Amino acid sequence: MANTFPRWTNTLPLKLLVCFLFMGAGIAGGVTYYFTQKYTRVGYMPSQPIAFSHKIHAGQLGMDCRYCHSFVEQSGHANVPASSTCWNCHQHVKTNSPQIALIKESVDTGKPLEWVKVHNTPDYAYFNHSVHVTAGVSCVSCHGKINEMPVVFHDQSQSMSWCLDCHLAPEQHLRPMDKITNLNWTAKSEGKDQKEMGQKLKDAWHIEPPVNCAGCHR
Amino acid sequence: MKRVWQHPAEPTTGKRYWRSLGQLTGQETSQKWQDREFQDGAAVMKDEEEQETSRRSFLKLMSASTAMAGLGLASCRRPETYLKPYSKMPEWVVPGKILYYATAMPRSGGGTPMVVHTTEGRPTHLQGNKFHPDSNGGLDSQAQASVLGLYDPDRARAFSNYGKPSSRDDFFTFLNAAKKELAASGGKGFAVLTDEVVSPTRLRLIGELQKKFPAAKVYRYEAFGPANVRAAYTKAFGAGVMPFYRFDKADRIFSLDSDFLGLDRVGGKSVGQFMSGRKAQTSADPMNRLYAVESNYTITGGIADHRMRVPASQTVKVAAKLAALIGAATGDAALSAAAASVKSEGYNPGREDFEVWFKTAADDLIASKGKTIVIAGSNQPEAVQVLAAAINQALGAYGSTIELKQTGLPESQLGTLAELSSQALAGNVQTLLVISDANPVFDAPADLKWPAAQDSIKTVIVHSTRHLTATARKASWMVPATHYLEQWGDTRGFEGTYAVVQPMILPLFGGVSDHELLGALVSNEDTPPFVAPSMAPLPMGTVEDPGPGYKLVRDTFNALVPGASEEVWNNTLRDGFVAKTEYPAATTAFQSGALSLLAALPDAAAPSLTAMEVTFLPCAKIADGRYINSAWLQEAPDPVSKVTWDNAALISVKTAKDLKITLAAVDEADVISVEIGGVTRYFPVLVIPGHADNAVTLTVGYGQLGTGPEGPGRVGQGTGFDAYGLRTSATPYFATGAKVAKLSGSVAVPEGGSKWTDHKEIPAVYPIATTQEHHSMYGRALVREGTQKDWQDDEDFVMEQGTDAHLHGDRAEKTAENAFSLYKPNAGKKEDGTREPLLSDDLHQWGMVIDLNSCTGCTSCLVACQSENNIPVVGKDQVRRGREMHWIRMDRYFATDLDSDAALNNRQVEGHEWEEDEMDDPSMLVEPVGCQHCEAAPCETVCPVNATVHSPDGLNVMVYNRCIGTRYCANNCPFKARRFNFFDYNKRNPLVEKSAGPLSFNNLYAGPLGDRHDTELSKLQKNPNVSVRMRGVIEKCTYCLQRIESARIDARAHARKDKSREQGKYDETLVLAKQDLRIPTNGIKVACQEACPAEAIHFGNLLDKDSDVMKAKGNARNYELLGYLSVRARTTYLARIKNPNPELIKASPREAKKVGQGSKTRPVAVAGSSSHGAASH
Repeated sequence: MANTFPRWTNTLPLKLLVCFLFMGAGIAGGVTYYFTQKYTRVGYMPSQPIAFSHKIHAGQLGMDCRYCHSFVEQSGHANVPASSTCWNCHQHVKTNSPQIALIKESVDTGKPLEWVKVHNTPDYAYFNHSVHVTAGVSCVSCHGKINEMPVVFHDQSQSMSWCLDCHLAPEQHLRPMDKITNLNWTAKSEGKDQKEMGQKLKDAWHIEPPVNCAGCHR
Repeated sequence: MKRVWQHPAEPTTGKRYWRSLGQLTGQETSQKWQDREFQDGAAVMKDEEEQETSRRSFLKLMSASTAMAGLGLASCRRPETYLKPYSKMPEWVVPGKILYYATAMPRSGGGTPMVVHTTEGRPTHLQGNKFHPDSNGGLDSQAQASVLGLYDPDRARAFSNYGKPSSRDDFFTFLNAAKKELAASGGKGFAVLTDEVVSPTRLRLIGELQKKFPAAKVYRYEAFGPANVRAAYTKAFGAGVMPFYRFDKADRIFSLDSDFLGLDRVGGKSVGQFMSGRKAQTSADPMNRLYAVESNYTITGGIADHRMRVPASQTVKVAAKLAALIGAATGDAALSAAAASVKSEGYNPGREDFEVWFKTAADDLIASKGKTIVIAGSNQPEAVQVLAAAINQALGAYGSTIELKQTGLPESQLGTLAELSSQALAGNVQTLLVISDANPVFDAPADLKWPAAQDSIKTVIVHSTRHLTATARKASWMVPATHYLEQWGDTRGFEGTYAVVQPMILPLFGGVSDHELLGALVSNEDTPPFVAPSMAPLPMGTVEDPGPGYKLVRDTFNALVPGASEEVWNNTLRDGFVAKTEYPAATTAFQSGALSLLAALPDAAAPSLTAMEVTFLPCAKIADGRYINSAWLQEAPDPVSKVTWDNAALISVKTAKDLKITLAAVDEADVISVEIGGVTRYFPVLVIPGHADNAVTLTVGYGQLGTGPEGPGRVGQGTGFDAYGLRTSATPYFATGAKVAKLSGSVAVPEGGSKWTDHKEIPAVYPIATTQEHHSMYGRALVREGTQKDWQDDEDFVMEQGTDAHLHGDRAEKTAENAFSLYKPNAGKKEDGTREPLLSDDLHQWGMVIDLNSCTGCTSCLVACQSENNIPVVGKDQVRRGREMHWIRMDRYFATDLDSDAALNNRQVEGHEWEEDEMDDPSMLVEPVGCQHCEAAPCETVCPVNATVHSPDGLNVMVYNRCIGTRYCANNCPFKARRFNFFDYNKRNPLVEKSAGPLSFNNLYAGPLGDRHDTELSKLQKNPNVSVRMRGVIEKCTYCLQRIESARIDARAHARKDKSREQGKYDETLVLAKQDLRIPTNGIKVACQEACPAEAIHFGNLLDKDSDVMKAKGNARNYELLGYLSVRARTTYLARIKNPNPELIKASPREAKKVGQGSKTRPVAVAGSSSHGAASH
């Protein structure tokens, strides 16, 4: 009687085992590399030259985001404030702090402060702040509760699929335009359903976020 | 099943359009370019076996590279980057937004008013200032490319003293001492040499200088300029009077060797004015008519309705002929007498219709009396200028179509270079200050012996923005000038309107402006030591010191606008000019005494093969040589010859045959020697059909000596061949009696003192980079034309040409129903028979129309596109391989009527023996082609990775990050509009030659070991809103996607924000119509459209009936390239309309033949296809 299995199948289990070992190692390596915070950047919290606390300024003092990020409604960039903007208040407040001395130095010499970039859009993607904040997307949707962060960290993954999640279903994030910079506001706090309200806003404001390549890549 | 697309056969009758002589005569070299878009490296598999082995080796390589990629993963983590905000927020700056400033580029003849795009303080792009009376908003390529000049790493950057590095303080210490000495002697032995730049402040300071140093003398020099026009008008009308042409008011224009649409700048907006008479919205619209007599084929000749080739030296004879005819008809005795005094007995430029041509042209001019312009080229001698002036006088042009204005300084106050040279050689000049971008050591006429004259001057101070020119290398002091984008200054537009030049950026390399230098010289105080400008903000309440240049300009301005408030000044800076400051009208009348110089003219013998004529022209790319280090201009193909990175001698077909020169040169050009008066120079030669016989056209400026910083700069070194050596002050524009011969072998160039070229030897065949044959699309009536009569006879005549003629029905049917489809014929068809729009955005659908009736082919759109879209330069070697990256390809076609006999006798075009005369008298058409943004784009269906897709607003977009470089899309693009980054052109410098041992290769091939660009400097010019592409991806026209997106975002953001604030409603109760989100009509201008001085490009929203583009699409001349493919291109073209003189057509069979349309063949059966010539299976 002929063999049911050809001879080469004798080594098959071993081959499969080796193959699975390699695959397993690859998957484990990939997961540890790509799925960790360092790669997706969620939780990335570099130390800044000045221990500026958004928690104090935006949270406790209740300053509007747009006092410092003044062009967020006009330009693609939400500008980091010039040293002179800090100096408006800090020439009077906490003038003796060694942290403020760095601002004073920058104002006097013209040398810019070097803030470490937390959120980094790649060169080939063109994100525009103005069109988002004027369409009812709050700062909190992409940056998290900045008003509770003593040190800013990366709150959302900001990957392309994350962008598209919202572009395909914007109603989950839209809110009235006067609540954009109110990071504590939620639909629930006014007893509304986010999805229902979002849908109404989407229809009334003709929100049609681009989902084609040219929307962000040029 | 594989589909094979059978294109309809090319027509065999009617007018034939050909890109090159090689194509016309069926040369293999040209065929190669037609067959293969990408020449080298793109391997074609020979047979099945090779396919199999290739696939195997491909898989091997892929697996190996995947493994390698794994090794490199560790370096993928993102580096830490920094945000550097301003320390003190500058006013008006919004990070991420472009700021626009009005300024002007000072140039010879008249400044060019412009608007500068600056992003965070960096000038990145230029456009014309349409509010200025001397501009219609267009901008020529040389002005466009000047922004690159700002970031030129080889610019003059440092002070030097006898070649040794020096400093600003040292120079001004010297100057302070020198001016005291000069003041003591009253300026004896002091001379100033300037260029033709018209700057009121400079003139004022020169006036002060002459007061302070009474014995000092001022001289003016440019290698090319309106000297002859100025001299003639001084004689005919008085000193300082100059003509300004109003082409928009003229019905008939006659050009006597004037390239007024191209190199002969006669006005700030003359191209636009001329083209306004050719817009032809309907077949009934009147059009102007242009007759051109010229020696070389120029873009003006291409536009002309009737053109005759006449050698430059013989132009005076045909001018006299015209004058005689007009003198006789108008009864102008002085004109007739003057014409008779020109010795031109029996002259004929070799045309049987010569007499009748001029007779009908003259009749036509007389019939339009008062609405004519006769314009003589600025390269033509005084005799032709005064003849043209006399004709204009007889035809009543002055006051109606030509305005006379009293310009600038009378000639008498300024000396010439010849005078300066003789003064210097006589030892009368001890100190010379050269404030000029001209380079007299290189470009002065040989007989002036300028190098020797300059050597005889003790102290020569050269102030220039250019790299170390030959003049600067010999100077005692080299003073780096600031670029005009870095300085305060002023200039006058072409017709005198005062414009302020304001700085966009602090001087990148220090430097001194011309005003600051002259100001220091006339100032009684010592110049204080230099303090580097500080970035630190000033204490509150203090005003930043704008420097001495500002004060000098402000003084001029205050004198010009007496009692001007700060507000008037600020408005001037905003607008860029002061209205109503143009030159005053001249009041003098024509003095016919000026015509007396004609009688003294010797009879210039017609050129012959043994005594040829040589014409010297400034280059369309690098002008007189001053832009030699501009990579954009070097790579922008010459509008007619299509040469890049070099200059070439141009000759006619007949002369080429006589000299035994290869007609159809593509990559390799024969070299000729040109000898005049014992001086010999060598040039690669290209055959331009339509050039005058026995004449050679040479473009100057190339062949500047030196390498690296000691020469024309790293871009310009080693490019081209010198023509200035042949030029003398007696023959500045053309010379006769030249001996021209083809080189039979290479010629060694002597080393040492007499060295005039960087080439060690002159080869008999020179490799040349012309873009003419690249990206060729075969024939098929891509360009279409007709006469006004053709159009009147058949409203849809354009749809009857070329392959569209094969289709049945009227225009609507042709464009929709009966057209062949790459897909199923009824795709997207609705119930009522109309077609569903393939795309979904109901607010915006973008489209473009290019009017071939207005396009001259000047390449200014091409350079504007390069500046806006970060398009890299690839270098001569890569251009030779067909790898230029320009998104706009400027096609040039010559057209000849195929002998009707040939078709009747069934003679094949390919086998047709072309007669010289047939080849030598073609008409010329140009056509810019970029991505056509097809709705059913063939490129999209073949991309394996979906890297090229459609956006809902109708753009064919390219996703660089997805692109893996298969080039399938380029292969499938019927328009050959896609460009592939074979190398990392943006990072690796393609202009460096490397060598390793015996090998010598281009830097690009050194891979990661290659030199990088001066990245920090070149990065400054880049548009931050456009991705800089890297190696291995395809790119192409995006319709300036960045401009569309920013307009779309602005429209949305503004509508929502403004409405909510207006209504006080911030939620769903806000009343907002969808239409409110639409970009305003004509709210976007794309870069090419903005730059076009002829306003030939229309761009806009196809869903907006009021938009320019929809108006243009409604024109009956509108047609699609390759419409029969049914790709539904968004870019369409308006056919060229010629307005020939019907009398001349009747009288001259030759002219009748030239104005024919493209073929109108009826359906022809094509082997293997159905009766429509549709796809076979």
